[in-house]
Amino acid sequence: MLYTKKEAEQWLGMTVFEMWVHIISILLFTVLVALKVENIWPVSWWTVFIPLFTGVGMIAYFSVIVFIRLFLEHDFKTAGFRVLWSALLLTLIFLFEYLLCQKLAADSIPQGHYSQVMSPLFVLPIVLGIRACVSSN
Amino acid sequence: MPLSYRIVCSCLLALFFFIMMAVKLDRKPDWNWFLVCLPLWIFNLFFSVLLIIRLVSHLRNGRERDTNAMSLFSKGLFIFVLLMKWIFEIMLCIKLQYVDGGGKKLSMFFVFIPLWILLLIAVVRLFPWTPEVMSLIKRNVRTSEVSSASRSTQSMKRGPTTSGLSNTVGAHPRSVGSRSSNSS
Repeated sequence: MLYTKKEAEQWLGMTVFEMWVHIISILLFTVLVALKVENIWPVSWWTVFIPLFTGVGMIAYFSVIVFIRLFLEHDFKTAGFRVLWSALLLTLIFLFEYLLCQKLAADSIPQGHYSQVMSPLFVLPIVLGIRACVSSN
Repeated sequence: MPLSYRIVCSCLLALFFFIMMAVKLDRKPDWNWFLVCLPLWIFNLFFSVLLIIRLVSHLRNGRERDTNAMSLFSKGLFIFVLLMKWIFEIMLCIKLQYVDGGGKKLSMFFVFIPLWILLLIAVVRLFPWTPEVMSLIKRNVRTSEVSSASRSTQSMKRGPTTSGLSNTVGAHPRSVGSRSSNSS
């Protein structure tokens, strides 16, 4: 909400629909987190993370459809750039969600390695900043 | 302020915040959560000042110099969103720093309420079909008003000959009244 829709689209390289799906999934996720933490619905962390995984899956499916349609319209350059950018963003987001869920669910990563879990988040702002600098030139 | 500057500022602050959080969770558990969230406070302060300056200049001049700028309503909404963000972050820090360890109880629902308000506003604003739905509703209301008015005048003119047809398509009550008055 701190940027206009057009600015956010330009910066993040995703459509309004994709942002909307992300926000819906975050909203559902926070509701489930509150229910789990307050012990109202004691489910596993994998269940709590389902909205986030579903959101990423839906956006991946949407991106593939857009890629196929652009490819059929012989707009190869746009299709290639778009699918590569979406794949990069979704991979980073999914990786972070998966590692965090694994950490919370089983605590399989040894203590003192939250930096491993957060490593995709270190890359994400750098990639977005580079994109902003490139697109402004 | 140009978009690229704003984006680079946001990215740097986000990166700084993630690093601080990783350090807090891995190496320095005694760090205060309010200190860890310092980049978020800077971010909020920066955007609040920016928005308030723009809002004040908009109110003073009556309009924005830039034609692509946000409307007055959007600016007011953005300030409200920032306020919700402030409240959520402060409440989360209070919960993490003072409540959990001290035996006091603060429900996660209270902490999350500002975030849910913020996200619901974003959901409504970003709903992909909101502009189309709004224009469709306006158009439907307008056409239904026009068609009901024209149908009633037509049925009044035609009289009992079109009564069967108007009955099947669900005519306006006024036309039914006119039909009965004609037939009698």
